[in-house]
Amino acid sequence: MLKPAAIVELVWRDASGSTSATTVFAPSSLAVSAIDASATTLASLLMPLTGCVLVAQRIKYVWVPDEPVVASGNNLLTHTGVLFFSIDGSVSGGLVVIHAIDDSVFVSDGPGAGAVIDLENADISALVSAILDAGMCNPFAVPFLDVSGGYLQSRL
Amino acid sequence: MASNQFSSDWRDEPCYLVSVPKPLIPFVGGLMRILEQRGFWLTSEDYENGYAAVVEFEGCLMAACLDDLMQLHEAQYRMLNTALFGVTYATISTDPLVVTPAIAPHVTLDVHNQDSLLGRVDRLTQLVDNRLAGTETPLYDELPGIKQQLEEIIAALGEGTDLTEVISNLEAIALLLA
Repeated sequence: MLKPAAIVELVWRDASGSTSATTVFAPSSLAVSAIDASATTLASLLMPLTGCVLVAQRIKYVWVPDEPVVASGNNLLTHTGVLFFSIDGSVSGGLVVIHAIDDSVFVSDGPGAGAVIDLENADISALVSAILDAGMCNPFAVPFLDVSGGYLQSRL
Repeated sequence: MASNQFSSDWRDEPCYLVSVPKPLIPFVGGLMRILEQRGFWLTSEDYENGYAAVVEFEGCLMAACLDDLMQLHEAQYRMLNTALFGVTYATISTDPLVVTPAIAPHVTLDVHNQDSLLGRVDRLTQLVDNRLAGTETPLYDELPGIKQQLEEIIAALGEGTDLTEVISNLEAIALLLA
């Protein structure tokens, strides 16, 4: 379920380089544009009151399970599958990670056995289609064009 | 915040081929995560350049197995050996791939099949040697050669005949074949 309040963080940095945030909450029923406008106004009013500089403004809508949940698999968080996506001008311009990835999605023969993600796997294929259909992009808003490959990494 | 910089012309720099053992790849790739973060880089431009490079690098880690590359390389070698010298190969098994004969440390100029490229050149060479010069070769043994026949014609025509121009032309041909 979507938590009733979205988190608004105004991140400040002092002269030493340390950062911290002013955290306020806004109803998650509001559109991000509305919350963003309010946050910008709030930041402008805070600026004369602080010696810090504003370095970031974040809005987080938070979804949580309705009931407590327990992980069913045995793989650890760091057992991560990484899917690489092509962008205009690059075969690998962005990535999506799958933590504690199920070992059934890896190819079972050849030099990549147990490590290379099988892009023909139905679940992987569905995930890739959903990512592309949703217009997902890399951190620089460059849209993904297609999946180019994937394999196992040890990462958080 | 780290102060690492990354130039926008990184693609113009040379690349180095590194062989990474498969069990190490998850850790090598995973460690690159820190380079995907804005905080690792000095400026936003460094971040964008560095992110692009590190994600391409991560994507490459399992894109081409060295074993596959070596197999393709050996297949190219066998193709050239067959085309040039006529060596024939046979696949004994596909998994693992075993082809016979094995690739030798070096080759000689021996022609294994006359239908190969060097075999055909060799055939032409022998044909020319035999037909023109009358040399006996492994493939051709017709005698006498054209040169000798022309010389005999010239010698026969020269006795009591008035074929000055003919002799002159034949002598010219014989000179060309000398």
